[in-house]
Amino acid sequence: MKNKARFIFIGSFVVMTAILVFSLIKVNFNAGYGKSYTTTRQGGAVIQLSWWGNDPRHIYTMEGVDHFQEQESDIEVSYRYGEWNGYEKRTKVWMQSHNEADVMQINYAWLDIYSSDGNGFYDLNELSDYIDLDCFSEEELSYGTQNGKLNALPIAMNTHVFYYNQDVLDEYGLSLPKTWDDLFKMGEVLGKDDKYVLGVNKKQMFLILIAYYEQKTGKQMFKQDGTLAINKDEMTELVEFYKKLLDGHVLCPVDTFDRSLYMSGEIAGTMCWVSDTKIYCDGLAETGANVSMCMYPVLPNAKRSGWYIKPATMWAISANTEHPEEAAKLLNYLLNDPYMVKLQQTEKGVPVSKKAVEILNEDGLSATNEYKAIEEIKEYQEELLLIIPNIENESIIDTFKSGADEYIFDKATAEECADTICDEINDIINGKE
Amino acid sequence: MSMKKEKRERSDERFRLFQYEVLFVFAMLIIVVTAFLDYVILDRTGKAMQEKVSDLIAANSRQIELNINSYLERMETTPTLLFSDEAFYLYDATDENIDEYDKVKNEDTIKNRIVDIGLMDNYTDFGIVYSDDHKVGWISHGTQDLFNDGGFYDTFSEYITNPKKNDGWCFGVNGNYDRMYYIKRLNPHAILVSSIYTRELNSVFVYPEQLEEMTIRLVDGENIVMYSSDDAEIGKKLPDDILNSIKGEFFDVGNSSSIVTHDYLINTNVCFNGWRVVCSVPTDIILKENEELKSFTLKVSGVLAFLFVLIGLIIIINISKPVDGMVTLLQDKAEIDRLSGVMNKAAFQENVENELKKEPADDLAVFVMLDMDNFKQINDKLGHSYGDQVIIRMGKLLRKLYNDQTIIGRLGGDEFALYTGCKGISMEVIKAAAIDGMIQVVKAFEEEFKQEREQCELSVSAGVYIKEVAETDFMDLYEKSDSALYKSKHKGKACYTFYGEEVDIDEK
Repeated sequence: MKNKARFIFIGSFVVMTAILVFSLIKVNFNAGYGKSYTTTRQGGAVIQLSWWGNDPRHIYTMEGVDHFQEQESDIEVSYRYGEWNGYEKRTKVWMQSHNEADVMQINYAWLDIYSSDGNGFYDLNELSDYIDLDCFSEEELSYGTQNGKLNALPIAMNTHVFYYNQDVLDEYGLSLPKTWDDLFKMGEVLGKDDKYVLGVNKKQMFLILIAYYEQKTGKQMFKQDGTLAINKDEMTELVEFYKKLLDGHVLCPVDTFDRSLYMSGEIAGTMCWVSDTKIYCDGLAETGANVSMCMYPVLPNAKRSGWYIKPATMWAISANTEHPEEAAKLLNYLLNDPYMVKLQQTEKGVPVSKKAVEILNEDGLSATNEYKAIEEIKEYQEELLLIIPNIENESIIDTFKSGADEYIFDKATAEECADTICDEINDIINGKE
Repeated sequence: MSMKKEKRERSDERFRLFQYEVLFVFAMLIIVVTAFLDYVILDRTGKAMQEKVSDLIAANSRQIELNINSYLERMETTPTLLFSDEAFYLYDATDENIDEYDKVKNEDTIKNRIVDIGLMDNYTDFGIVYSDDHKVGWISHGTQDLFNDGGFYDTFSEYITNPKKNDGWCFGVNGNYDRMYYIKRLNPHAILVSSIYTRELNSVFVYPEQLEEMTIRLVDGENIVMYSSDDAEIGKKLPDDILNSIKGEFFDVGNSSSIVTHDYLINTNVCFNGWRVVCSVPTDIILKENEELKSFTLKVSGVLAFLFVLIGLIIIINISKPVDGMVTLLQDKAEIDRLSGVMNKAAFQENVENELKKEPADDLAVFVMLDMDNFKQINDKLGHSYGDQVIIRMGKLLRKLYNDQTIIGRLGGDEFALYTGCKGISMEVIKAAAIDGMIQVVKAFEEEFKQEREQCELSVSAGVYIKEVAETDFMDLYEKSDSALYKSKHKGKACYTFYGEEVDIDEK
């Protein structure tokens, strides 16, 4: 009996001790006690993305970037963005200080400015393992090729289109203008109520004047090498024509133009990039107004259209990037990923990438105003020229505008202004060289 | 002997009950002590952990507050660069005395300045608005579209709430919740309007991945959520369960505070412009390890308590065994005559009285008194120690002759007594049995003490009384059987006599 009790006692003790030890060991393993605890963070590549645009573009691009980061968890993307006005200056600061983003939205004109030898941006041919270049034709790739190096890929092709508030035209018994004279007649009518036919920004104003000049003279204002072809007499006439447009209430002064004037009907129409259709066409339509699309006015017996086309915007990779492969993945995502393509839709115009077009076709691409505009423009394809980068040079445009203001505000004669403008533009072009 | 056994059983039962009581008290003591220790330890460790976690999160939140303050301060500082030249901040676009050309030139200058100073930040808006709603600089379409019916300047002017600095912050302007604005007055007819998307704060509100369950918010003075790691909260009032936990004194102190409620660990930090960073994480998630530890501690202490109780039980059982034996021994010592090994007079009397009380009144019983004849000669001739040996041997003889049904006692000197209860047996049968018994006793005595008989004429006399009256008590039995014994002595010893009978039965 005594032995039995002892057996129970020892047995119980052993069993309980075993349970206790086992429990402690289990908890030790679970809780990680008894080992040094380290907190680590997976350090992926951090790359930067930069773009310009308006609210819708900012918002969907950031959403797309979030999605990209979910897919590529070892890549972290930070971004820089802003509106177009001033963005060129921003880009200049980045490029000159070698502080540009890894992936950049660039303007077609910047290829010449920053990469005339093809070394200003990364050669995307070297990253073809990550970028689906088959989505682009040879011609499309040539837009971004400098000195044999693929510096950028076009997002969409872009040209200009005119949108009119049809309700305003109807109110004044006006129809869509086909000629410059039509515009002046419309200005006469609308001017009586202190309204304008067109409201545009500085760059569009310059393009309108170039179109007029080229239609009238049959010459390109800038030669293919970027130098100025217009002479001082012709510049004088152009400055005078500009004033005529302003005085005739055809063109609202660019400093006064505000999109809200167009939205409210104070200005009947605008000229914009096809890629800005969302803002100027769809935006106005959303207020309940009827919107009509229209092409360039033409002079009778015009010798050329003066109408240019360009890759709307392009994606490039910094030549200085430390993460080319990650940057290439992001670039490919921005151009070809179904999620991103559907977010972007036709906000930058009708995409160039065949894959993006296929994706959008499923979503009713043909119903969009951008698509309709591009289709209509195709009828004039033979007249369209690939834009000469200096046409979009901000400094040249500023020089023209501020020179012309001297004449417009009676501070100088048209001839004096033309002299100044031509000299200063030539200085800019030569300075660049 | 049955009496003795029952008594012992009763004693054993009392002792067992005592053992149970001790065990129960011991177990309760262990449980109470364990529970108390658990409570103290868990309460202290729980509070310590809550404090540490709270401190840790407070430190992180403080860092976020510093980040957001730094961000907001930069948003305030950049516009001050417009005050570097009067041309930027004193220009009044509504002044009709300025001619159009000068206006264009002035505004070009201002635009260039805005581009220069706003160059490196992701501003959604950064422009000057004049009292006629004319705008210079970057005013986004998104913001413009909020004022299609006018009122741009007037609306934003109302958000200038700091009269000293002439500035203010706002959120939720005309139902817009994707950006926050900073407004600064430049002159009586001009204000600067700048904004950033609140999602820009993703880079400010970075929290360790280990705290992914934490919700981080920036709320304005009206407790409207401007930024939240949970997108669904943006533009809405701070969730009620969070707001209710932090309102009152906690929220009014105007500083950074932490609170641990049943549901949440909440930390708030006040930014320099009065906005708040409010971080919250469900308590059961942040203190999950503590709960696991608590559960583990309770399990371990449960096992330990069980173990202690078990060990205690075994120890008590082992300790109580010798005690049990000792108690029995002591009891025996008190009841048993040391020399003869049968009950002493007091114990015998007590046992007989108990039996009398217990037995039905009409049950018969036999009470026998035995007395050794000429015992004095043993002492005189053979010595007192021999006499003692005779008593010892007499006790052994009686114990040998009678089973547990008979209570045996030594009433003093050489006098012994027997009591046997006879349940359901007739007088005749008892009497016959009693006679047989007496014959056996006398015979056995003769055999045992043959030598002593020869040397000292030692013999035994008996007086027998068969109880048949209900009122009989011990003294009655004693006196009656003693009377019968007296008769046996009187008859010449070495014989037995039944009380109330004149028949003498010779020992032969």
